[in-house]
Amino acid sequence: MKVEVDLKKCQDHGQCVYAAPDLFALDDEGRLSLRSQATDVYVADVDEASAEALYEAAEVCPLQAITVHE
Amino acid sequence: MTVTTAGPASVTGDLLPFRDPGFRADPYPYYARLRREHPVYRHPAGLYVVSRYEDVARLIRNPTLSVQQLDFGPAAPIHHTMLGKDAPDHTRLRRITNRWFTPKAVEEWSKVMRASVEAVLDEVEKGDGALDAADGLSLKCTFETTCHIFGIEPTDMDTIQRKTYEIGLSLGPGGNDEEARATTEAFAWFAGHIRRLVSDKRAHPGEGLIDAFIAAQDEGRMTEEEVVHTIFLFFAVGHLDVKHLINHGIWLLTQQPGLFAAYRDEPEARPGIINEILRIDTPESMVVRLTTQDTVIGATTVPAGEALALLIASANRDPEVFADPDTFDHTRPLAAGQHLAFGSGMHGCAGQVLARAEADIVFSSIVNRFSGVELAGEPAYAHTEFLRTITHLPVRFR
Repeated sequence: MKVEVDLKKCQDHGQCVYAAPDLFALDDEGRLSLRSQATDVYVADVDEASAEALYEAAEVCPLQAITVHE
Repeated sequence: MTVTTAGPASVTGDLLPFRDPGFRADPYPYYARLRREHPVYRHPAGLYVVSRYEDVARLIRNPTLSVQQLDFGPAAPIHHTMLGKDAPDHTRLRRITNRWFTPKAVEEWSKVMRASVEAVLDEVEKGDGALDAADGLSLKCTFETTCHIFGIEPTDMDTIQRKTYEIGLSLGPGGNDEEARATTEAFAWFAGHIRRLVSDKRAHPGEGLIDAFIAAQDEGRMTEEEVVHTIFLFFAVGHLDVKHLINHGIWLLTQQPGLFAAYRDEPEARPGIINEILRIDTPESMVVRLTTQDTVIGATTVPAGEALALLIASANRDPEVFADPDTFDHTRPLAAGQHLAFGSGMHGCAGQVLARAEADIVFSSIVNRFSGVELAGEPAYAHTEFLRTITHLPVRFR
């Protein structure tokens, strides 16, 4: 499965970090750390073992910036 | 004797007169001067005021800044809520409530809001089209929605609005003894009221948010004080800022017939219109944080243990980010920057999906049902130094 994060929508609320700490992190400036890897849209493969956490992250994101692709 | 002036502490006079009625009515020229001349301003009250977008946006996410170590004075009970806690307590409390404000959950709450708004507008249509939109629509409908989420009957609305306002008075930097007393009494009233609601719920369980808090307490995930004050917090934020968003939007509809038509005819423009209402008259003008280490802001180094007032209402009018910032323009490009009305970072507004939905339901219902709206009297304001407040908004729909 894949995760897609719309970094233009994201406002670094960090709720995904609480929901899925293995997938998301905030950097020293409080910004989503994967911003260092993409500017507009971040796409990455996610292990099935993390599916539940990823779905929770997508659900609780206040900006709805996370999309899960099966 | 020569006085060497250096840094923000040397400014004479008060560039941010929090108690001044002129400032409260229109703080934006004061903000503009701060951004230009003193982007990090040492206020006579002791706090450092930050006014430029770039600095505010960076600091509002800065994980080294604390809310838990702030002295809230008479509003100290706020430390029992997520607003007054750092990680990990903040994380724990926010995870308990997050699921109640997801877009999916908000679809359910929107049905309640819509029914409430339609009921108000039905009555307006039966009558002469006149309404005090502040209490009769914005407050009433958001309050009823909040109570539905809690799983309780919508009672004591006017008292809850008044007591919330009295607590808000002490959240700004300029409070006096009388306001402090009102704040203390208001917290005592809320504690009594909420303890009764909770014991009713224990006797007659349901499926609302209060039931979820009771379960969290019984499972050891929340303390009793956290339950009581988190319920207070949701009573407060359930109407306070969103009410201003709705009131200000309705006021703008009375001033700009073109906006009324745009909202009706261009559904794709609606999110941008709501964002622009939030940007141009941001309901909550500042957030306060405490430094825990030397913090560099532009040319100023603020030492540990100092309070920072981050002026989000000023950041939202920064011409470096928003061209012609004092003009309402819902077509302005998003690329320049997002407004900070909901904050940003881990303390960013948890209810913003609901707030946007509630505002959209009101505006959509109005433009779909009526052909226009005009002022039927002068609006009345009770702005504080940190909260924009319209207390009366007499309008007539046609």
